[in-house]
Amino acid sequence: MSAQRETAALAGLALAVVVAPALMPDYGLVLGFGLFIAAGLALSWNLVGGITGQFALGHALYVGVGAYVVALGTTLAQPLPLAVAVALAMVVSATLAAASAAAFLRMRAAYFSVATMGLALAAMAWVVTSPALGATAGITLPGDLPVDDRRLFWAAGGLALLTLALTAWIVRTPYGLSLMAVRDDEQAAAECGVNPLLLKCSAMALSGALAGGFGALIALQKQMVEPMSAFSMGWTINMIMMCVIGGLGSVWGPLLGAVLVYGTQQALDELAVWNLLVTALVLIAVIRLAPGGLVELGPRLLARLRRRAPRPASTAAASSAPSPSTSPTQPQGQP
Amino acid sequence: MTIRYTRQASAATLLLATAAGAFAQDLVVGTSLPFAGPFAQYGETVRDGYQLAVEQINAKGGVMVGGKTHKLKLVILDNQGDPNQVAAQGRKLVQNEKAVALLGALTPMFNVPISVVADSAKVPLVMSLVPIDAWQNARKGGWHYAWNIYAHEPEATTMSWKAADQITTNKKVALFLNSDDDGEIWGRNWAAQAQAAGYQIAYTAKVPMGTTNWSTHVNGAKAAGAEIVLGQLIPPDAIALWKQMKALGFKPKMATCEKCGSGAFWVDALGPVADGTMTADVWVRGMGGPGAAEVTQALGDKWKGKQLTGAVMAYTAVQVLADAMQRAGSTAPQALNEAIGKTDGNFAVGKVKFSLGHAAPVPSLMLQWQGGQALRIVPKDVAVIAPAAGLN
Amino acid sequence: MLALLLDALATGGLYATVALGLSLVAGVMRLLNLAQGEFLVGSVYLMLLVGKTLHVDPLAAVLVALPVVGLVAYGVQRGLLQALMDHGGEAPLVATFGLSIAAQALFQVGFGPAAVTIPSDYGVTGTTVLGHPMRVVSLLALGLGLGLTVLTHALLTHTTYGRALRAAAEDPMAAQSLGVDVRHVFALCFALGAVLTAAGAAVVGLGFSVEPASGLLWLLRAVAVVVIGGMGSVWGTLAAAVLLGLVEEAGAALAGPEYRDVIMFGLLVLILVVRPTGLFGKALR
Repeated sequence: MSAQRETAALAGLALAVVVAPALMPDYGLVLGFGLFIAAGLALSWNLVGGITGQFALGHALYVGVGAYVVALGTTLAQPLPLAVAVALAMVVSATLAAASAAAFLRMRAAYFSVATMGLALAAMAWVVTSPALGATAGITLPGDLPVDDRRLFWAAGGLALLTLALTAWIVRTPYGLSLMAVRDDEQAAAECGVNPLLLKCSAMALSGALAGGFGALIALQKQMVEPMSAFSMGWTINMIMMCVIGGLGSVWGPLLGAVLVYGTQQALDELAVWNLLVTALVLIAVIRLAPGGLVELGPRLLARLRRRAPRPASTAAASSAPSPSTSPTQPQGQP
Repeated sequence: MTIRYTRQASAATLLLATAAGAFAQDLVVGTSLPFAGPFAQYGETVRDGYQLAVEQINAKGGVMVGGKTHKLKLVILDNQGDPNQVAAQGRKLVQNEKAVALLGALTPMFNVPISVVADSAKVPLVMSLVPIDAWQNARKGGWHYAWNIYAHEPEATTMSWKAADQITTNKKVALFLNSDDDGEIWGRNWAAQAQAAGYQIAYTAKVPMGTTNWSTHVNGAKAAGAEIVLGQLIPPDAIALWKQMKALGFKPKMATCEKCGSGAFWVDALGPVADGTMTADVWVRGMGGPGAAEVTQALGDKWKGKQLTGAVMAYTAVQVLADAMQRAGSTAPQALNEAIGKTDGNFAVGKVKFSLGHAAPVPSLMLQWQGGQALRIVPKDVAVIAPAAGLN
Repeated sequence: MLALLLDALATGGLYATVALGLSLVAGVMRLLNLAQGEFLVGSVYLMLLVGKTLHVDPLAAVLVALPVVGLVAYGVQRGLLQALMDHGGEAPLVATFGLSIAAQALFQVGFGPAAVTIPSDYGVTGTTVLGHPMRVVSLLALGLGLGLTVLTHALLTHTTYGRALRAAAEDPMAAQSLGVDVRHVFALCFALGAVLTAAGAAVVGLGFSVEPASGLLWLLRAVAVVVIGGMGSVWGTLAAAVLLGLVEEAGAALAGPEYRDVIMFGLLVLILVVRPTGLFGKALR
């Protein structure tokens, strides 16, 4: 997608988010909030997992940290104003993420993944045993906070759009190229003069900050936090699943994946027990048919249609058809 | 088909129109239940209880609210055992399905989030199956729209001492607890009450959920000479523990298991080893008020022990809600909420009165598995069997 | 002290059994199979089914369950995962996650949500080893862990299949061009991995209990073992399993059992920080 089309699309989405509450029934706000959280988390993970190629399996840690910082911040003797609490949540998550990236620097691939996962699980287990953090019962937020469905909708929508816009912008900058270089061949990238340590830490910090921000909003909607759900592996799994289904490493892929997965989950919520099976089968089917993600379906279909259509007389028209990437590496910055 | 306008037909039409006006639109009550994960079976018992109550109320015509009879419509959403989904589903019930009241699930993990929704959306919620302190302590200042009918932990834990008093032991107790809400609160109460009750906690094992390896703890309890085992564990952990107690030759005279010894699955899984296990509860077959017999008849073959209690509690919650609707004469949230608070009557589980803030404590009793049946030993229906047959 | 060691060995044996399969698949096919735990749980359910219908000894039921699990695994790899591996990227990982959820849903639909265990005397009998009471299933776990490790090692080093497997692991393209049917070899590897983990069902089904969602618990333990021991290293897996068993028992004794998970995962992270390829892993990609 060209830069102008992308900016136009982003602007359109922003307008839709601002205007939607006036047009939608109340439940639409809740549904929208859920979608923004799902898409936002997927997009934040994409920065690390898709663009920088670091397969972190512990992002639930930042969601939980964000949630707990807000919970603690609003239940202090002198409670923090909401905006400050959320900002603090993002800062703490960013710091934690950068620190873990630095600590896990020497690890490759699966070991890095497992280390991040281990950290998240250790954190959950530790919070469970900490009375200061509410232990298993958790912390309930005060019931008189200035949050309502509309504000949450805008906050989540805004943060998700910010993440999307950030991703779209980053892949067009030298910074983004350096990240992708680290993903594709860290050794070669280092020899070309980029600093993998700095890049990985910065990507993790950004990703962690955003995930923490979404975690903070989740806590504000639920108005309570407890360790099992705040640090649940389910967050990580959903993030990754939505990214891969949509198109790992692409700008719009995670959003598409989120819409599909979240939509399926919502559609089936009255179908007890069988909904899990149906969701799983849908997932497997989609991944089998589009291993590179939904984003590649469009160009692939187009290419197939163009192959079937009668050949145009001029070669200029034929050569303008974009050819989908057939190499096994992830699509690079492709919408 | 030709429509013949005769005097009889028009009279019939008039009658039909009047009747239609008397039956007004359905009242929606909704809940979010876990149908996957470790609490899935309790999700099913609660659903069965709710469905039975709604069916029977509707069969009798419905709920009379302010002169009109309304049928109840029950909407159940599946949260797949993920508490993260409860908040959004609660809102869906209120905003999308237009629920006039909510019903609860079980355990603090699911019931606290739905209570939060009830309070913030200002829609009344009646629930059960969450111990009172664990739920009440979750919100400073108490709940405003959420109501709970269940056991009160400090009272429930005394059942263990009452049962133990009926047998001769060396008064030494081993506690086996998960580090979850229930384990925390029950463990605390047991530890606090032991001395006054004349008992001594000789060994405590507080383990994370998903513990399979109990050998150290079993040997530890054996070494400490404990003759009473009090357990508050999730079923898979408890099944593993019981098997290991048997295998390693630890033979307590009395063994209780809250949550774990609560249903037919306990006997199915452990067979004869399960015999003699005790579990505290709030209801048993043969007890209770209007509706209890219907629940036993309809669901008594499918669910045993505490699982049937779960269905009875769910049935009670719907009864209380319907009763409040009738007394309020309206389903406006504030009026309905006030009416629920004034509940004072006899329902399936027995007497219900919200005497402890927004909680209606139900007196506890102690059951023991004897020959595959859960029978009441405190207050005494049958004699207690000691030592715990299955393990000795 | 001896008691601690014996218990740790038993735990380690069980963890090794469960982790071997994961290690093999991860080391050879570079795939972290998120559905590995479901092979174990599914095997227990199969054992239950076989026991109920054929009324055979549970250990014999295992022998019936294992080939079934192997066949299913072969089919899954050949039919679904291979195509995704050909494509590259992270699709296979997500697919294994989808399979894990599908399996859990199937278990619940087929066997109900309640926790189950295999009723048998094996699970409730104990014996004494060097003066320390131990369960029969613990000894079984020890034997199984050791025996399967030896068997797998022998398979990898002394058989034609083992050589083909190692060749395919190092360089699939080269192996293919030398006549190795890489697809078949990988599918057999996946099946072997499934069967190894499923063998643990003998211990877990008899000695503990499972419910439809239990797979994750065993997957996490297997992952911890594999990562500490180094992927693809058979003896490393055994050593790491015993180490993990020791840490669990010692940690529970020293810090208190409620800290078990903190200690286990904390240790995992610590080991990886100090030795990024695990204790015995080769420093490859």
